[in-house]
Amino acid sequence: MHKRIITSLIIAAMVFSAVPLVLSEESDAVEEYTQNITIYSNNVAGYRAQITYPDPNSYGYVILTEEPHDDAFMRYVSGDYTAMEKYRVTSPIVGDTYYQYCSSYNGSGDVKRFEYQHTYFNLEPGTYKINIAISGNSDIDMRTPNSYSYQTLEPNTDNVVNIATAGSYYFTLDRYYTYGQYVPTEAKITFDKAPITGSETTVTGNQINCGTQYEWYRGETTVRNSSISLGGNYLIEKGSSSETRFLEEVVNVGKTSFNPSDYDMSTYIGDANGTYSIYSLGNSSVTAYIYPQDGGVSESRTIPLTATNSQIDEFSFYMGAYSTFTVAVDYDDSQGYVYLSSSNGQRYVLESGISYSIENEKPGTYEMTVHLYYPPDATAGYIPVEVSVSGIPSPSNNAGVVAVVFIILCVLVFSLLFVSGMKPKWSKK
Amino acid sequence: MSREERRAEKAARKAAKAEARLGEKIEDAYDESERTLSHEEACRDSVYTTSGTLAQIWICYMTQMNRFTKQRTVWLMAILLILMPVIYYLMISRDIIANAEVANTTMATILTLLPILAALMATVTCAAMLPTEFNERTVYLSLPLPVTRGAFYIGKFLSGLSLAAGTVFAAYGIALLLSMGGAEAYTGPIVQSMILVLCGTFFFCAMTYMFSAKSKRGAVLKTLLIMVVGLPGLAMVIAYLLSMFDATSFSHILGYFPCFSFDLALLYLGPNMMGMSSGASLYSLVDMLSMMSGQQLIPGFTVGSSIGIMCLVCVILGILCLIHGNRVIARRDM
Repeated sequence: MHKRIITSLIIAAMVFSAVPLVLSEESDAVEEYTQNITIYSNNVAGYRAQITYPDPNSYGYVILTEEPHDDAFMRYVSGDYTAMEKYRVTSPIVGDTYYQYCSSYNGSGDVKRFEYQHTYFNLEPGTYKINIAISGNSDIDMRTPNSYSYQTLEPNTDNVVNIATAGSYYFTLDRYYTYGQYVPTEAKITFDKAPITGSETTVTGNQINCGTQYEWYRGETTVRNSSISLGGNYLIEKGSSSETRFLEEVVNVGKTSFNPSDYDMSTYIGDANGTYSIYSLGNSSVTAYIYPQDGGVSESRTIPLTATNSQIDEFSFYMGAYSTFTVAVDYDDSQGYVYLSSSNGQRYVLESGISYSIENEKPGTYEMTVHLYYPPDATAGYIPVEVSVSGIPSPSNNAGVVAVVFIILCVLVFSLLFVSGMKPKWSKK
Repeated sequence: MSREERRAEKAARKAAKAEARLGEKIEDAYDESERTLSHEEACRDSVYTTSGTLAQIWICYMTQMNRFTKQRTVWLMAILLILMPVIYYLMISRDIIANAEVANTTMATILTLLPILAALMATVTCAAMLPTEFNERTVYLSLPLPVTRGAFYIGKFLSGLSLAAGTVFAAYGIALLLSMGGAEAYTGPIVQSMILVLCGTFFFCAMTYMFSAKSKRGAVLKTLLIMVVGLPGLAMVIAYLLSMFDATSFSHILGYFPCFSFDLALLYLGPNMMGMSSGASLYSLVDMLSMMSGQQLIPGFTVGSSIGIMCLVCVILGILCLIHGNRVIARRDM
């Protein structure tokens, strides 16, 4: 009887203690959905042009027919390679008019363009894990409606995609160049959006330059009535008025090279007289060739350039397990987007002017970084960002005290062990 | 003469005799001055009773601690487990420690083996106490004394629990001292983690002690396997079966099994640099396999997220285990 009571109490205690949690805990707020679609390789399936044989302006596969057969052609490019066989003209006659179905056409006249019917997905800003399950290993391109390649994804694996602004996207792939066709492929796409919601807010916080640190070089030289010539990627100008522009348009956007003429500057100054500033992206010195205007002895001068780091503010913080914090940022989103990346591999894209409440499940460190839109190969740069955060814990100053308390408690226990080992008083003589 | 009159006469004769005796002078060898002690000095008003329950528990506690000092196993285990954080610290790559921005991370890495070692300490201290007493027949010397069986039971349990807790304190203290280096420390999660580990240790000790009340021999390995493999495995199997029937919401309850208390404690402590979600445990192994395979092996199952609820579950179940074990001992024939 008592055994049953105890067993029942044990089970009831477990259930009772967890039921409030089950009732109050919301299900995981992960937006996940899967869709089966057909992915094509190009926007354009092909062209149909009415030509007089032979037409030199087409290339790729070419099928000549006497009459148009558009439906059969679409079946052909979708993998039904026999669809056009019965209509194909095998022995065309020079000078006769035919309908030419081809993969690419560069001529003029009556040309019909066939496009694949891509499946478009409307995605809101956020961080997505996109998995495209297909047979084969061809990479997949994620594109915007104007065919701009947004990101290249690997098939059959989770790809992290950050969407900064809401828009439509579709997918294309490169594969199976067979019979001159790019074969459409059935795919299963799974979207898994990171659980992050936000509300519009006015951001008032600290201003930081958020991004990746970049190094640039600057030096000076004085020239009297001479012409000066530099080789390579340098900028030279009198004074230092272009320094700000150099920082904002070259260093700040992480350019790896530049064209001096884009900045109204030159690597050669024919009538140099005064002190000149020289800027470089990767060289710590420059050799300048100086030719005096009065016909004097020319010289080559090595000018040392001093390295300067761009002003980057690191913004990182630690969050414990099952904690929540709020973050809002304000920045110019035409340059790029700002995102938070955690040491647990999660990334959250932050829209400007939106306050986000982020639930953090596992402990880890968050770091704020940027992704620059231009140039596409930007390796570094920064965006000024106004940041407001709350709910972030502060490091403690009493770690040593806590450690000592733990050690004292341990010593207390083992001192009791030691005391108990001493002989009792009554046994002493 | 009536009966009452005869009784009265008898009493009067007895009183007369006693009075006559008083008048007699008694001579003995004792010093007369000793008869001048006051009541307080002679302790004539002192009342001698059995000790209170707390005192009985204390005596049983200290007696068991005395027994522990004579057991080499306990000393070896305590020294080894206290040194374990140091050994593990020395094995970890210096680069990993140098790159740790937060001391909590280094601490969580040093204490990776805590789930197994705490369970081991609990079984070593609590699994063999009662069976040893019965096998060596020393219990028959203790129980006839004025000590209740409950006090005997609780006192011995507290000694085993305090040794296990002392080892946990040492592990946390040493790990924190080794981690402080130059990195920032967040003591709030550390203290929360410590409290949860203590509650988990209490449950492990109580459950082990309950099993030992019924067993004839102290089965350390059996109990250890139950706590480290059996209970977590059972919870995960049930969670997997629930996922097959799309009942994953009930998996949250299973995540509060007390066997997962150490996993939650290490999760709260900080991220593990060895890539493990928590300490060295069955749950962590399953989690690692899930990460490697790219899909959750047990869909919808994670350890509980609330420290308060986990502590409550550990304490309540631990108390119930103690109550059950106490009943077994109380009703056991001697």
